Amino acid sequence: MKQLISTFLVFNFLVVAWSQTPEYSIQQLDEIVLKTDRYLETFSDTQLTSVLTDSVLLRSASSLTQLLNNNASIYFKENGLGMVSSPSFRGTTAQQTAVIWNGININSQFNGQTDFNTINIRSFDNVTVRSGGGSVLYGSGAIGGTVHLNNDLKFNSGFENNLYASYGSFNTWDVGYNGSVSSEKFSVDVGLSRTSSSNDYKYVDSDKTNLNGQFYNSTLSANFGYKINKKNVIKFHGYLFDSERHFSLLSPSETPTKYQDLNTRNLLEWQGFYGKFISTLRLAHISENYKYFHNSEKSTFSFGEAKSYIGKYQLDYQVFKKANLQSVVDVTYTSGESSNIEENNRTISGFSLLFKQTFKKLLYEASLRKEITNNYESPLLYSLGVQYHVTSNYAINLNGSKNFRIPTYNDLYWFGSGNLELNPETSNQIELGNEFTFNKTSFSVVGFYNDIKNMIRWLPSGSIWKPVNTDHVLSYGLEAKLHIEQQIQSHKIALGGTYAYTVSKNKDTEKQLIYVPNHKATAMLNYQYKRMSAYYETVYVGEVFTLSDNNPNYILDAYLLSNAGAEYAFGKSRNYTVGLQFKNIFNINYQAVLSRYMPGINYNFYINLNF
Amino acid sequence: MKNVFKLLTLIAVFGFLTTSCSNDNDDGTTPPVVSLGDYANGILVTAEGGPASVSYISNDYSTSENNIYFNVNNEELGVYLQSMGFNDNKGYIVSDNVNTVVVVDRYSFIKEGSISDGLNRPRYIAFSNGIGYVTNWGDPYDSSDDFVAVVDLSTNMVINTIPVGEGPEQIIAVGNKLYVSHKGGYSVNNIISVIDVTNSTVNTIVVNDMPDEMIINNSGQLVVLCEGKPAWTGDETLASISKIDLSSNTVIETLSFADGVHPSAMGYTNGKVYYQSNNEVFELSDSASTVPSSAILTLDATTPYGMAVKNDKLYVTDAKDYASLSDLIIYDLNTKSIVNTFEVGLNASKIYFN
Repeated sequence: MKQLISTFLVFNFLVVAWSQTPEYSIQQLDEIVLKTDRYLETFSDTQLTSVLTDSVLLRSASSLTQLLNNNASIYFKENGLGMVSSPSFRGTTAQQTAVIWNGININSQFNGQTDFNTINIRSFDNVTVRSGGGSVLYGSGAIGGTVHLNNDLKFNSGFENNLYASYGSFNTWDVGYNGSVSSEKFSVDVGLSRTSSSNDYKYVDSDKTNLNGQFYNSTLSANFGYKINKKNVIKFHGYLFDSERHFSLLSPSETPTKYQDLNTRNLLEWQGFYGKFISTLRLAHISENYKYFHNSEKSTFSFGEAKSYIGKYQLDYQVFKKANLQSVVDVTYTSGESSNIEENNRTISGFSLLFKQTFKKLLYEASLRKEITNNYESPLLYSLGVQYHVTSNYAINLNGSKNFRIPTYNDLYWFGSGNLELNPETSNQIELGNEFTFNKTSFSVVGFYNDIKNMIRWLPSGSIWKPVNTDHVLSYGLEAKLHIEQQIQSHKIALGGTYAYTVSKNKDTEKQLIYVPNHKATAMLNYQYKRMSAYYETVYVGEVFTLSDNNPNYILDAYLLSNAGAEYAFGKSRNYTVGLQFKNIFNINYQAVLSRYMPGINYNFYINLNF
Repeated sequence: MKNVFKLLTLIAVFGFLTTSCSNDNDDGTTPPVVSLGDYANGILVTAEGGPASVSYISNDYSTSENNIYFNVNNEELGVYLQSMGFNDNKGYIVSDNVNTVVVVDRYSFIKEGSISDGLNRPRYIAFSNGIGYVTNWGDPYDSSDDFVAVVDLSTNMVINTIPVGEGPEQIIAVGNKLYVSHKGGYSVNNIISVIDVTNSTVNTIVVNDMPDEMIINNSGQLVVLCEGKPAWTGDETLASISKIDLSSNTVIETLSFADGVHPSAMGYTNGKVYYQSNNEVFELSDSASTVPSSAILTLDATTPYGMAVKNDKLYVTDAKDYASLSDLIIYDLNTKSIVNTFEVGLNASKIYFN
């Protein structure tokens, strides 16, 4: 009852919801862009999505952490620049944010999360942030929200090249090449990128230096599309990521360690359009490998290795003119082992039904998913969303869903500790939002309420630690987003911002979860005059508790970071850009994790050539 | 990625869970009555962290202060603070991850120096004839590089190393002999090393698996708590309290625990051994030939972590969820009731009397 009342209260106090249709970068009328993760368009209308493309990606450092820290309301717990980075999305844990590569969930089989510093954004056409539950569409971990890494396939766009290079403080190199060639029938796109850094920054207000923080990562991506005939298309996406990071030291006398990642992802899709039916068959193989060197000068390491094979068949049927029914059958087979886990296999089969109908002012979408595995009891997942356009400028969204996070390999199989009795964490959530769109202005605000049960936590049990389903967490708050553009003659001004208010409490202790700020805001102001542009961006992160008893003596202070930059575009069609960036211009001394100091003011210079 | 940290945390926490406070390392120097410093005449509680810290509670409980090392020196102690040792007026703070022993004045806590070269995963320190001896795991994944570092206390330099078996833990000096319990580090071991400081020769005594806590009882015997291998190893072994005769360096008595019982902390006062198992505290007289079947008290703690006894008081730290500040809970051994509780550092694990 109490819960009902609080739900009701939250509802009253919520003002909004939202969804934004991605803006595609179609330059030529006859160019056709095919998206592989179609759910982002077809089943995300009643939730907030935010698409980060070209200029935003160009101005960001190559790590997914930095891109999203500056442009989204997700909070990052980053263990020093470039080190292990875990997200908290809408106050949830790192395992409750799913990262989706071209429609496939790539969170680690071992720990259930993605380290956002092991994703290099240069290989993707866009990065989309989708707030709120998405387990029916994207599986485990889609509780706080999902982050999508997308490669598009362009047809009819000829031969295009893009070269990007950046050099900056701490000997940081970030270079990338992307080449694509396409005709009416085929499309080929290959990308290469590499980021490396000595990462030996001085701590602000201290004579200490970030030691043993050097890293590199390289990415190779390849995307092919072939239209066999008018009714059949074949697509392939391939991806390889290789990185080595030394983990920075808290004290110079520590033993230096390092960590290597090698991840591969391959996806083959065959899509057929037959009258009222669309048939899609997907086969995918993804692998993750890590090696942890507990002494970077030695050759001994601990490791983890997991491979998944995914088969998925989807049939879309157009029931009425504006009503669509999809049925999906999928199977995922995973095999993994690590230094602490003997080889284990698991198979998860899933069945989904999705329905969407659009009327003049109203649309609704409903979906169901049930997974079957002998690992654990899987709940029935569902999602229901309604969107109503009150006026042409104002829409209301309502969405409710049940989502989950399944036990990981570590949770289930860790030698001596693994608990085969674990059940998935489950989340019941509801969100309500308003979205306002005017000519050059959009504003949205969404209120959410998320009740997460059976949270898996490792607790002492005799002489060891064992994972158990225990915690019950309530997360609620609001997310707001604003975008304004104005143009007066040759002067263009764009202003954008996000704000999130988040409460995330352990229901038993009534304490805020550690490393979840109540407030986070981002803002960006861009001014362009002809070929020149200058911008200023800022991020505010509120204070966070570092101890679970919310002891006020152990908090990390709030910080306000500011970056500024300028760009000049040259070439006949402004297809060459040079830019200069200043980060942390006020030389703020801040930490995202206790004792992990971040860099002060730093610089970089970049060029971006399209030819 | 995170699982590495989970692994490390688990290993670290497991290690710390099953180790515990050492016995009173007071070497017999009785502080004079004049004020020696702010932190004399009281209890020191070290906390692994991070952040690692040291707390002080006066003997009359009238004053207490957390983070005393930081407050005095404006400097953090690196994680993880494993243990402390005391020699004359000096305190030695052993931090294993940072391969460092920080030297302070034990009463003022003013930093006097540090031993930072030549240590590798230091665990505990003992003193004999004015020389310091520090147990080191070396690379915890390497079973053959474990050693005891010999430290010149005037220069704080490691002047020699004595190779020992896998996973040396606590160390006690008795005359010209050092006794080192080998719990095994990340692995499992079952020996006590006996080091003759006059010529650095090492002999070993085999005991039950995972020997950790050691005390010298009133009969001059070395009493060792062997935890036994826990069930999750798939090869569970019995825990025991073993008594070693120091003249012959042989085990003269082994009191075995029942199957599945793995006590983890031990102290000695008033001619009795106190140990803790599964949230309960047991009392064992020197003359007993079997371990007691019933506890003298059940702890009012979520996660008992460190334990010490002195006179008629029992001191226990409660690490709670390992992510909140710990409590030091003081019991009266006569009334079996709580005398006082103090909030101390994060993951407080060792209790010393200063």
